[in-house]
Amino acid sequence: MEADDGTRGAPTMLQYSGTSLEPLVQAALRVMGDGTRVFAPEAGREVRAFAPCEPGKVPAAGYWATLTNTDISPKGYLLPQTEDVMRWRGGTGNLAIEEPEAGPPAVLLGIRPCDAAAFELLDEVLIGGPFVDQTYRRRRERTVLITMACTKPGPACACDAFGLSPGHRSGDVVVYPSGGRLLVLANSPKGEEILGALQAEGGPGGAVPADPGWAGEVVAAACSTPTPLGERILVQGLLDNPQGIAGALFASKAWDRLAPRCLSCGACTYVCPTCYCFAVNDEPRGQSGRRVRTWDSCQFKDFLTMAGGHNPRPGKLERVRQRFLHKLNYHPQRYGKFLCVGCGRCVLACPVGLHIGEVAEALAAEIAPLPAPVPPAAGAAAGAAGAAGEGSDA
Amino acid sequence: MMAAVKAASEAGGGCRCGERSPLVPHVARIDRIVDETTSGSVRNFHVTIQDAAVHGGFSYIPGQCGMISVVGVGESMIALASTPTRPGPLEFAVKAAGRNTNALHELRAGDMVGVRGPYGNGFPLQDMKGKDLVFVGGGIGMSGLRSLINYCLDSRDDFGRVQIIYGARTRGELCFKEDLFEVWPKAPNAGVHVTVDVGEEGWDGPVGFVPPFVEQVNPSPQGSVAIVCGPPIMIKLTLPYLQKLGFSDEQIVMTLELKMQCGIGKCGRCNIGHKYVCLDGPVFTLAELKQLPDEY
Amino acid sequence: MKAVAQDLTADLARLEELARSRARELLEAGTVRLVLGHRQAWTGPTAVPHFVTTPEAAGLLVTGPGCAAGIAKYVLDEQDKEGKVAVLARGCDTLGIRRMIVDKRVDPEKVLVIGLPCAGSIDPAKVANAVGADAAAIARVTPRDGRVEVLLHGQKEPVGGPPLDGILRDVCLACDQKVPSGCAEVLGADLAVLAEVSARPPVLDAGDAEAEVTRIESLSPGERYAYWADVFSRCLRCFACRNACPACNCRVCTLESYDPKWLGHPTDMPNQFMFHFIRAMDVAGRCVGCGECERVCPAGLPLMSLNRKLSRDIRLLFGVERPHVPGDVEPLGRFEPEDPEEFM
Repeated sequence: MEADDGTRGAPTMLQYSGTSLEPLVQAALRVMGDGTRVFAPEAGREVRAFAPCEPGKVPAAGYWATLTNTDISPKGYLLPQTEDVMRWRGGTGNLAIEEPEAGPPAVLLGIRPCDAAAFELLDEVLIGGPFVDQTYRRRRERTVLITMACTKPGPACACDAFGLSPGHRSGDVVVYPSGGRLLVLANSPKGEEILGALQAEGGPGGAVPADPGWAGEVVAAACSTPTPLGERILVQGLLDNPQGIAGALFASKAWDRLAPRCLSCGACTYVCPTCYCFAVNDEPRGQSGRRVRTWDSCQFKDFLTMAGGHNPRPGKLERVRQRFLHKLNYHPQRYGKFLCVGCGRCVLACPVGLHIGEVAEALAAEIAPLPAPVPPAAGAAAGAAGAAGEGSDA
Repeated sequence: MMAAVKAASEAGGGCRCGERSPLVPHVARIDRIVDETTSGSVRNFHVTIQDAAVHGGFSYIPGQCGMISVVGVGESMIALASTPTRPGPLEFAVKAAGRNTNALHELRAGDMVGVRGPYGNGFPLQDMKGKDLVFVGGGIGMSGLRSLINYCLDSRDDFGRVQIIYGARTRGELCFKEDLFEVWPKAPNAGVHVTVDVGEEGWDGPVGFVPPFVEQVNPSPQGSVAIVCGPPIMIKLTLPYLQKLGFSDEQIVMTLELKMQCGIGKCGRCNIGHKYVCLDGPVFTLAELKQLPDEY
Repeated sequence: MKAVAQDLTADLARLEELARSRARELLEAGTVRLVLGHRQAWTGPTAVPHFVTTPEAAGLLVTGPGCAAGIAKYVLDEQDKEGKVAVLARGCDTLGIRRMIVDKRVDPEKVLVIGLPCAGSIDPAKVANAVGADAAAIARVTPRDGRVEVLLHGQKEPVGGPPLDGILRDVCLACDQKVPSGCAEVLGADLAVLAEVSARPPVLDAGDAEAEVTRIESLSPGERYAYWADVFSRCLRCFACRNACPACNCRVCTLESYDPKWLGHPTDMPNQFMFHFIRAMDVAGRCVGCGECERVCPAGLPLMSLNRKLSRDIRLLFGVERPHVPGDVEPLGRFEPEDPEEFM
């Protein structure tokens, strides 16, 4: 985010002609060392995620202009779906415990500002506080986040509703393509190091300090690009006094209407870049074994079931309410910001269309009633479903 | 951003142990197991962390908990029953309730377990200094209370009158019988009141549930703090009696239990509203609890 | 008198009116406490499940090709509550409900199945391909004169699209239940164009529908393993498929059981394979072909290939003509002394 600890001066900004990201990636590899792996968004599949990318075959910046964000977030590169946290030998007779070795460094190339901002939210939870999730922190420190600003937000995007923008500065290095040139901006000490290495490379067509006027315009233009769903998602009022409205939101009758169609399937939490709940389980093999952390979901029925059978959230209503209040009220009470970056993946992934847009609208009505919408006349939709208008009912 | 996060994390307390992941337990040996109940349902595990420096540095206050692992099975968050003013093995009284705790009960002295902690906020010792203390416990709830009671008795002058009100289903199910019947009654300015749900031959003490028993003992709320630990239903039923006696919401302290996995406020599971039971709890005053959603 | 060629659109609009008024009627009379149907989504062309508990809310019900989501499974959640539930059920929904009744998980006395003739539901990905846009960009799809009109977000006018058949989901193209059967009542049976469209035989016959199964079977074992390893490596173990499936109705799911733990949480390959194989085998002979598993999967896994493979095997090996239609006993749930092979 823009607010930082004040130790950084103006960030280094470089520019170069052309749209190749190869020099930037090479600079990152020089800084991170041998064995660093590179990942970039994949194309050519119906459901897209990040996938390994060979240095030397790095896509050019124009590749991102043709793609909306990946369907599966890059969250798994810092908080893997499955990860060993500890290994043991000797069983209960002669127990020895060790931590697994750290893996190789990585470069996440071309994550979007929303996903980079999501990592910052995860950092606050997992690295901040009285305990440091060292497993996550180590992975974070050996991963370079190269953010690609969005020139054309996707149809389900809403980052600006959550205080971000398609040009938001997050990650280690931010790339802004503009008119056949690339503006490359350092956003962290690691980013500074990488841009230093990039600039040191020199040569004809090499990166040079960016013209501040031009750079300012490019960044400002990216940051003011509106998103398609941004103005429909009415969340900002929920940040004014999260403590004060907590009771009303919890008791809202809106949950009776919203929750029943939830399948409790967990798809939303798994595609979401800011959901981080995990389970810890032991996988024994004789006297040895591993303790593994895996993604878990507050949507699963037995998420909270205790020994003895008590389940504080036995029904869909409680679980649906938990997810959305965590994002829109509980996290704001602790950190002053939403646990959502408006990436729109839940909008696309939920099989029954129960996502933050509709919920935010219902909750906003709770604290500042909206005029009641008129239900559509029969046949007005002419046998078809869907429109770009209101979707809430009275 | 990272610098700000680092500063924030250094400001907090908690076990840091260099860069070791807080999810990784330390190896500990079970020195001794004491059956606290005649049925064997509650066993008190006395454990020593094998790394002497870590054991020595395991600095906790009453009301805090540790995560105990049986490798290959799982971990459970258990309140410390020992007292920091008495160095030695850490004591964890465990009731066999589910998969993990049943596996723990299968172990013997000499076996190794994983231990990490201490976790949780512990009891509000500063707010209790100089006050009269009313301890209300049921069943295994005596475990965390015992840590606090012994702590208070070890710093006797810091606290006022001590009243201990405790009950279990039967005489056999009473935990820490030696403390209850031999040690605590002899402590200065202390009273011990024990009840059982079901009377039996040989028991000539009070019979009845803990909540109405509290009213019978009739502790005064003046300058007092009531600390209530036990099964959720016992706590729920005790509160009206305490309120009837004149205890305010700020004067009633309780420990809550919720399913936990990480114990360090990262896995997102044990929240009640915006508070995490493993970080902001498990000790809450009734006043604090009333600010939170009724979902626990 | 010359018969006026009516647009399917007009019949679908009429069906929607009938659905709304029937729902209103049932709720006002107190015959049911809940009517399950669909309504417009907050965004996008596919309708979402709608739980109607008041006559007023019935006004939001929609029917038609946007209604892709299956609603049968919700009947299972409602079983524990008092009173009766009505379902505005398309053919796939009726099969799903019947599945749960045969499995003795749903009490037939507690559900009122109201059949809706169906012309199929749309596949947003196919629409997107046809008009060269991104699936998320589609706001509305309207059938018109045998084709569809596609309205994209931010546009004022729809663009002309392909024929309706070209953008229906595969399961709809293979569906032989478009006129629902075994229902307490059927709405709109007299809507002529809709009746004619829904009475047509499936566009995809069994052979076409199983083309992908045949393709995979023609691969060598090594190629087949590589194919499924790639598929299962993408599984997030989110349980969406299991939750959406009407045949997955066990009270305690083996795949989720903690004590005893049959399947580990970690997404190691053996666990990934076993999750899907166990689920496919448990559903074998009971799959109704609704395709919800594949529709809901956030990772886009081709789960219906597994189900179609097993369904076909059951057809060929057990001589069951239509395994996807729940009978009194499912094919693998029956043992006769005359069976050609011994039990084990």
